[in-house]
Amino acid sequence: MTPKFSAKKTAELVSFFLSSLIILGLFIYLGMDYVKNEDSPYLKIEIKVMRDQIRQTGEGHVIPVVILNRGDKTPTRATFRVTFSQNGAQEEVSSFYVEYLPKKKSKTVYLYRKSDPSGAGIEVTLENYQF
Amino acid sequence: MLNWLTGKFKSDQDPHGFGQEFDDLMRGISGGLIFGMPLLYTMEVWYESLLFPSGVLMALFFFALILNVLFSYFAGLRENHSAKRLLYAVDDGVTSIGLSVVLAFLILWALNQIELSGNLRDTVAKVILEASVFSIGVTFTNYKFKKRAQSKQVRGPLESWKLLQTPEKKQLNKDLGDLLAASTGAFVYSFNVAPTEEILVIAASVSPLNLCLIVGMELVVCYIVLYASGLRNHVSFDEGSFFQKPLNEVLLTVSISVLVSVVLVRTIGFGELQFTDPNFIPAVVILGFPAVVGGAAGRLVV
Repeated sequence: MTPKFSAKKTAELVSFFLSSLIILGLFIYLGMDYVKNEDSPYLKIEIKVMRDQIRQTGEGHVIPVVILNRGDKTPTRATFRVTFSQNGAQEEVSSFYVEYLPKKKSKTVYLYRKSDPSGAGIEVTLENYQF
Repeated sequence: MLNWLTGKFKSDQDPHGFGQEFDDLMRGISGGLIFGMPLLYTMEVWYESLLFPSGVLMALFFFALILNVLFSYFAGLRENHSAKRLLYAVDDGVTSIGLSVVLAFLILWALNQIELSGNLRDTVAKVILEASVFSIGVTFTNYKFKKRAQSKQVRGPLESWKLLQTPEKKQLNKDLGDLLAASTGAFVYSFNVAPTEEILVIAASVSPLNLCLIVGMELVVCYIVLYASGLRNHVSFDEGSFFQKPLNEVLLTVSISVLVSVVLVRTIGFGELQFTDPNFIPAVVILGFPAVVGGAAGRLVV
């Protein structure tokens, strides 16, 4: 004869109740996210060159660049183009990429340059991305 | 409370079953850790989970729930589980998932892979993916250990030790066996994690506070696997032996496992870290976590 479910002790019922709450909470959250999620391939990327935080390290200079993904999707890879200019003339062009730029989240990339970039123009633009 | 932690409580002192439940959950944690630890150290799982749409995550989580209920129907999470009844299976399956979610969250947080102030959607995605696999370990491995403990009791302690003369000698041999088992378990379990980039990625990102938290978790996890889970059929020939005290045994197992971690980080670790590298100690602590789980699991086998 098998015992009845009601014979379970209080502790087991407490564990079951708390676990059910966790699972239900996760399903409700994911369900709401599923309903409101727009499957758009367009990203809203915000790029901030932190000129006030440029630091000299060793023989070079480090320039922090904050990249913020304000979109609703996470690209597996996003490529950025960096242009340094002096007195309006292009001095150097390079690029870098960021893997997994989570939606609604920022990542900081550190550019390295030998000459002092304080007086130079620094432009970072999004070149392409893929999901 | 101490009685609960060592599994030595009497049923008449535990009318509401909290002691037994604590034991069962500890055994579940041990099973989940041994089964799912390598997955927690896999970068692809952290990042790929961010790309899964919510619908896919819900389907995966639901599938894990069904699998757990099915496993629980035949095996069961709790030690006293015997009846093949659907309601019991649902209870055990749901509890396995709930426990895994909490465990995955805590470990990912300690490893700095989720931020409390960060994006909730990312946190949920990472935790669900890790917990889905973890939960199978909670249900399935628990069953395996239970059977092993039973078969051990039937056979009794290692028969060949009967030939040895004094209890001190028998105990010395057993302590040496435990030491060997811990180092072998730690080595085998963390060997495939050691050369991965993940160790360095985590080591470079964790704060000193996180490292302290991880060391604390290593001690607690070792204690849970060795004692609190009640998985191990403790055999002692000399009750006065220094290594038969729970705290000493835990410290010894953690030390051996961390030592194995030092050797692995230095020899096959990613990035060829030197002893003087600032990331060396963090990497040892990070790799020490799976090593401790392996070391404690190794001792269960002997």
